[in-house]
Amino acid sequence: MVGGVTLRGISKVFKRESSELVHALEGIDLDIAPGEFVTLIGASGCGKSTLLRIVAGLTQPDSGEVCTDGEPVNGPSPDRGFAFQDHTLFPWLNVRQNVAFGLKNQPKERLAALSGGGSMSSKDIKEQISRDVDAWIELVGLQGFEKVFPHELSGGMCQRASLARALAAHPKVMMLDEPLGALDAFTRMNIQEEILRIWQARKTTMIMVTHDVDEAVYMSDRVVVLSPRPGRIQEIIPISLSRPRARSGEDFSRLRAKILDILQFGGLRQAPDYYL
Amino acid sequence: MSILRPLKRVFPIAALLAALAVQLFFPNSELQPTTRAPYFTYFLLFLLALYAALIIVSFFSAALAKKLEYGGWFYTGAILFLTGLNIFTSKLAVPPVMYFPSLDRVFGALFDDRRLLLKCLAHSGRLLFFGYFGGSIVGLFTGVGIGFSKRLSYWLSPVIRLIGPIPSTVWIPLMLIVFPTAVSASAFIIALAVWFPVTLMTSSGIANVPQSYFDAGSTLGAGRFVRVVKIGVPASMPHIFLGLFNGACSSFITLITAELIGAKYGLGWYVNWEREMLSYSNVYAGLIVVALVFFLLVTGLFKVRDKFLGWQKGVIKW
Ligand SMILES: Nc1ncnc2c1ncn2[C@@H]1O[C@H](COP(=O)(O)OP(=O)(O)OP(=O)(O)O)[C@@H](O)[C@H]1O
Ligand SMILES: [Mg+2]
Repeated sequence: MVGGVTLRGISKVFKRESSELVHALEGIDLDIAPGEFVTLIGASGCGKSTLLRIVAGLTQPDSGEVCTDGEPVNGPSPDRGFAFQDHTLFPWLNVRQNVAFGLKNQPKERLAALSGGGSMSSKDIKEQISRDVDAWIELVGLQGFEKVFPHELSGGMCQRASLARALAAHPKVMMLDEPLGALDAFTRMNIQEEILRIWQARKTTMIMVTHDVDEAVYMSDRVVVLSPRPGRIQEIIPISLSRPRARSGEDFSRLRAKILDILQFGGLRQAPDYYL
Repeated sequence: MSILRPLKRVFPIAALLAALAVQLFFPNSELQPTTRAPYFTYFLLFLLALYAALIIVSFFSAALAKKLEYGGWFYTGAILFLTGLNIFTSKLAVPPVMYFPSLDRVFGALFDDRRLLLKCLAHSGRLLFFGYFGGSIVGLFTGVGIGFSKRLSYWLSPVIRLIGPIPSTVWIPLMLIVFPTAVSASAFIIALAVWFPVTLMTSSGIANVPQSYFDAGSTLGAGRFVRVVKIGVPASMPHIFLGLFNGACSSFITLITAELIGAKYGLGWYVNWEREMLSYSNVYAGLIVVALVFFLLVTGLFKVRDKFLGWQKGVIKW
């Protein structure tokens, strides 16, 4: 199993233009097992995105170390995928080209290894990519929109396309920064199922940020609650419900209530700015 | 509205007929020297035939019909303007005929001098081709280099800021010494004029690419080269095209100016030479060719832009 993540003493301080310091993260220790589904939850601005960026290697921590499978992270890699909070689809590529971007542009050796050994010709690889891309587009329900450019898509469609683009690149660890934020309740549930299916099929380690407590309880193995300014781990709640899960029930409600309780009353009493 | 729409397609015909009536039944002023043939009449007849043919085709092509309807007012206006000019110069000879020849003489010059004009066109075309493409390609590479490399930016940015704004025609005397032929010197000067705006817009385009695109690219496995070529360059295409447009404009100016000095052929040379000969009908004939050529080139550039930048509709407008 691959995709374990270890965070040791991660701290990050940002300097604003006004040279005021923002303690985004402080002393984050977290071990994520290979294939685990972990959700980060916390107030807006408490450093969730920053933490994901540090794991992805897009932001350097001021102190502490991130390792994936024992290897220190010192830059981005296709092994650590990222579905960004704002979709960041490439506006000059259509949906299909966007989804194919990762597969087409990663190092050839990695691609060959992914598609089962180095025996494939470049034509085979091309066809494989093409099939993969079609499958991902269908999975996120964008068939018929392959040739459409991002500016002609709705916000939710952009998020789905961006999710497909990130997952199609075969990451071992997947960072999901509020990937379902712009979706309606129904599509949201559908995509949640799809993410869970992909997760179970691929054993990809998932680190997801959400503001939706139900979503956190429904999907994760563990919920990590962060406290704001400085961002610290306030509590880690294991969700030991058996899968497939129901979206209601006594245990579900109890866990949900517990997380809400921590978010609202634990540690911080001054005016919170939750999305909840 | 619904009656007016198909009519708009026919208005230019009416305007052309009016123009012909003026041309045929209103004699030229006695002050204007006569021409071998009524060339402007020929030109109007040619337009009439061309437009009539277009109208017939437009009954089978909805796209063409739409274009003709859209352009209807403009074509009508242009023809009426030409007719006004015809009355003002040819018919009444209000301004001095030496500097404002009759339209018959202008079109006559265009026809009589066609061989020389074509030769000049070929000469200018060659200069423009090498100068424009050379300058654009080097500009593109310089811009990308400055946009992505701190070291290149450190060394080149001040140089560009120093050299760029100097009108490149200032270099003509120096280049005539450095280069073996006037042609290569002129091509280099045109390239220099194109190089500056293309470099500037490319590097500023790359500087303005949101970091999030590069972040997304690198988590998808894109290496440095892919990030430059497949993210940086396409994301700055709108800027690059602005540079290519500005470059085209300065290349035209530079071409015409460069040909005033040391050239033996070329459209700029032609216009200048005929002016010195006080042969203004030829001057206008040359100007018509220059305008047509530049119009076609800019239209071509617009077409290329629309093809490559379809994605930016609703993203960036200019
Ligand atoms: N590049 C940066 N420069 C300066 N400050 C930053 C930067 N990135 C983040 N911050 C600050 O760090 C803090 C944490 O930001 P972060 O984006 O990680 O929050 P978040 O928990 O993801 O919030 P949200 O739920 O609203 O997305 C914020 O106060 C933010 O202002
Ligand atoms: Mg965030």
